[in-house]
Amino acid sequence: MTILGKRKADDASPSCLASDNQSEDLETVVQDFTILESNPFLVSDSESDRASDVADPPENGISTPPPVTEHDSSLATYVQEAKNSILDRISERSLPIDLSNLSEQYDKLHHLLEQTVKVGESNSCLLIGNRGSGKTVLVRKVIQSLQKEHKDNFLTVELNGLIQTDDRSALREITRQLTRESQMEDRSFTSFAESLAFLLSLLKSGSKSTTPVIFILDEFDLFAQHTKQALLYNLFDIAQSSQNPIAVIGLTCRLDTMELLEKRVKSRFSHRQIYLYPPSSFGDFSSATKSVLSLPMSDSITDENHTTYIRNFNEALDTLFQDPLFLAVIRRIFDLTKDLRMVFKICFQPVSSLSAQNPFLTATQFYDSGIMQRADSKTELLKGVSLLELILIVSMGKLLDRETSTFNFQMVYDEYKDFMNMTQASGHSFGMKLYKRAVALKAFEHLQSFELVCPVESVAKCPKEYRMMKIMLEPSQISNAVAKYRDCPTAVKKWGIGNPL
Amino acid sequence: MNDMADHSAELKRRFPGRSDQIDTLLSLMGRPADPTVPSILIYGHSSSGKTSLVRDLLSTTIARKQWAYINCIERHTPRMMFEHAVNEWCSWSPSWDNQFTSIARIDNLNDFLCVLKEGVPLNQHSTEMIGDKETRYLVLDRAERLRDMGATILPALLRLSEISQRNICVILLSTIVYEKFRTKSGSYEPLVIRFPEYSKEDTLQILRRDFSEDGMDIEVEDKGTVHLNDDFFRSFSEVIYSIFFQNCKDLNELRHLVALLFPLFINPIRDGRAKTHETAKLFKLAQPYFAEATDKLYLREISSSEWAKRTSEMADAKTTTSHTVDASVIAAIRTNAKGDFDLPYYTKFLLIASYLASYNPPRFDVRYFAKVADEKKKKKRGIHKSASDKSGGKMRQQLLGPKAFPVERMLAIFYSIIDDKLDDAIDIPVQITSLTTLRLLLRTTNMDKLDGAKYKCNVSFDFIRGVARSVRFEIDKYLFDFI
Repeated sequence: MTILGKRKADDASPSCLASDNQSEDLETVVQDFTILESNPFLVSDSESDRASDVADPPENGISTPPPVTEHDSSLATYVQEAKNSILDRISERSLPIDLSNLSEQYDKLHHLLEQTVKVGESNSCLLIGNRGSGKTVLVRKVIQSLQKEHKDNFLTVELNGLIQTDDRSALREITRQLTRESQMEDRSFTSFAESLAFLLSLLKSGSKSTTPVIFILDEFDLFAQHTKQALLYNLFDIAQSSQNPIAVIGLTCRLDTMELLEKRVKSRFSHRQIYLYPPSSFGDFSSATKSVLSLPMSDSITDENHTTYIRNFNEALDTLFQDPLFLAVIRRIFDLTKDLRMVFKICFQPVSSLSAQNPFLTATQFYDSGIMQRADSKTELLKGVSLLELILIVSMGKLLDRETSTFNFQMVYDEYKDFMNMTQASGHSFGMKLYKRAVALKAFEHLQSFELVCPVESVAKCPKEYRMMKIMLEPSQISNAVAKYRDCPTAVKKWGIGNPL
Repeated sequence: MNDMADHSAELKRRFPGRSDQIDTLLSLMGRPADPTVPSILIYGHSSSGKTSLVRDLLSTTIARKQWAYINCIERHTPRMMFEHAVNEWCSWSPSWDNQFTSIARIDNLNDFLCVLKEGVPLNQHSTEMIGDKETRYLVLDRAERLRDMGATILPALLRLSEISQRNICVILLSTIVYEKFRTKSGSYEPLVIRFPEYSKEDTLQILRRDFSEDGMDIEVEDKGTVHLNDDFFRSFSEVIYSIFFQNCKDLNELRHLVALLFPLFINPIRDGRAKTHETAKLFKLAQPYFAEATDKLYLREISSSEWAKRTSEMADAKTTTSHTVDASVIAAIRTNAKGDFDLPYYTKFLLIASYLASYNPPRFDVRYFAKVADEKKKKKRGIHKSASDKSGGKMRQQLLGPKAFPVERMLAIFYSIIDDKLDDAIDIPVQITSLTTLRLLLRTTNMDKLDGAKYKCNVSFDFIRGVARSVRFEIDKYLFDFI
């Protein structure tokens, strides 16, 4: 539990996205664009020529397809169908069409499970890969193809470490899934020991010829945290002693999962590990994106208009993937994370706004939603704080400059008071007044409720004005917030952006 | 489709300045059976319309049983949360007829997933399947509380539709940013939608909706009634906005202020001291109230209902001279926070002594409290101060808060600051205990440790100044490094 339990880690070090914001985005994209053009292995010369032709009006892609107005109602249904199938894919409910970048891993896993299903070999294996690298998809795909090849000659039990948080619930789930699929009589157990005994007798009684069972343990590392790892021990034990053929597939994103296993569990594990990597080159990455967004042409579609629509849609997609603006968005994600899910996130909005009026994807939509998803949320949040809160934040920034990293409300208020005295003395305090301590304390507590300011120790030992706090913002974020703030008085602006003392 | 356009137009009318967000949400929802995003996080400042917009939007566009609304503060355990969600999805309400039970017993995520996969048996014949065709929505307000419910709840909810293979969309509402939700081992990241702060126009429009559209008639002394139209409200809202917007972005607080100040603002019209169109004059007359309200921003020392009562009393008592009534209202706003807190004479000195012990460094005790004046040490003071000023005077004890002191030290100071001999009848330990009971002193050592007890003084400087003044003790002279 400790792994998931900590959430403070990311606070202190904002990602490299941190200082991004909307107005800078335009510049960065322009820069990205120039990099893009000068980068030969990205877009070949002829392509980049074409791309820049298209670039000027990004909507060019839509205007080219032939008019389909006479079939407006049928078009709407086609668009709806297209939208649903793409949405299904990007919300990861249906499986992607191709897994080209994972073909090696696919073959390995497929071979492994086929041995279990066909020959009755027991196996265990661990799939390790980053979040969003396709572990679950890979397993589902393999299971799907096995189901096709071998009908239903095997059973699958899917468990998830997030859901089955202890062995008791995991056992209940296993019995539930097994009894449901093999139409055994429903049995309910009162004790843990009883259900374990039942399950073990079930699994150990068989010989090589009985129905194989495939166990899929998602978030495998969480199972290793169960007390005594009893479930893992028993599963691996069955897998090792060739009784009922079972395959245990663990999915995890922790590289050190092996270290989590107890010695007796570890020794029963086959130590077979399959590593999954995100697409390594940008070409792979963008083609993976493209395959998710494209519509498959299947033979079952006989309607002429429908096929035209699909063809036009895919053509529009081709133009989209030559649009430098769009490629810059994808490139940025690739450079930062290589995570396909980030791309999916950006795709949701443009895809769900497909309609009969605009039946094709356009680059500008992607660009807008890209900005929305990667804007630094803290800076965004700071735009909406009141002036008093902003001044308090700047005061904290000033304390930070003086290497006072933890502070309490009194210090911040004192700093604020000094600033107000200074501005009032120099006559710049246009429209600003010194707020009472109680009002400022409320503002300070408001900041605390946004978790922009967090207490250093969880237990309060003194009155709240004196409780030591730290600020969860970088100095650059503070000065950025001041610069972005609407109608910020010049005195505050100068003070906030000015060089550290 | 037309229906949808109607809904969105209606919603946009009701929520000024939120049209982009409404469009985004509606397009993400699509038609009822469309696949949706697994999870959405909506974040924005408090009172930026997150909850009301999402609730209105869902209730106007889809059937009531398609969505469940859960406030994570009200339903603070997984069981309460999940059972309530399933109840709402099955339009089941716990009542007398069903002995206030939920439709299904769900103790944890595992049970919840079971229910999602297998459906809820309504009676012998029918089973309510959840999310098999039309999308079900799970709205979780105050989602930051989910982090306290157990480490796996939030990551599981974020990818609920994938895990359960059902069409479920989880909408999280929160005031804090997504970075704070991230767990160490990562999870599926939701789609983030920000509700930005309102612009001036939007704020004014929302403020004006609190007034009735046909205006309002008020009685004026001797001259019948005067009609207040929309323009008058508009100018009033603008006045309020221009005064408070810099330091109060919270719409609810602004509305509270409007409700507080409007009766006072129109008071001169009632008395016939000003006309409706003389905004500048009205503003000048109401200026002192505005200034008072700025000082009491967010504090809510007096509740809106109490305020309304007072102002209505004031309207009833128009016949009396209005100035005295106004003064009483100001006095009501300026409620004395310190209260009339009276302590026995020597107990006050005890408290002062403990304050001095908490905030003065012990090494200066001799200088301040020795009966024989030590001139040499006083001269050294200047040198010392310049040496300690590294952090710009921000680490002085006044700002750091009270320090714990041994009770003997406080007693020494106490005997030094009282001038006359102490009466034998006064039991000092009892007084210390009663101060501790009043929470004016805090005991920092355990109760089982009898000797060497340490205390902290738990009162503010303003408070102790008031106490010192009441016994004519010049506390400022005895405090080190105070401003």
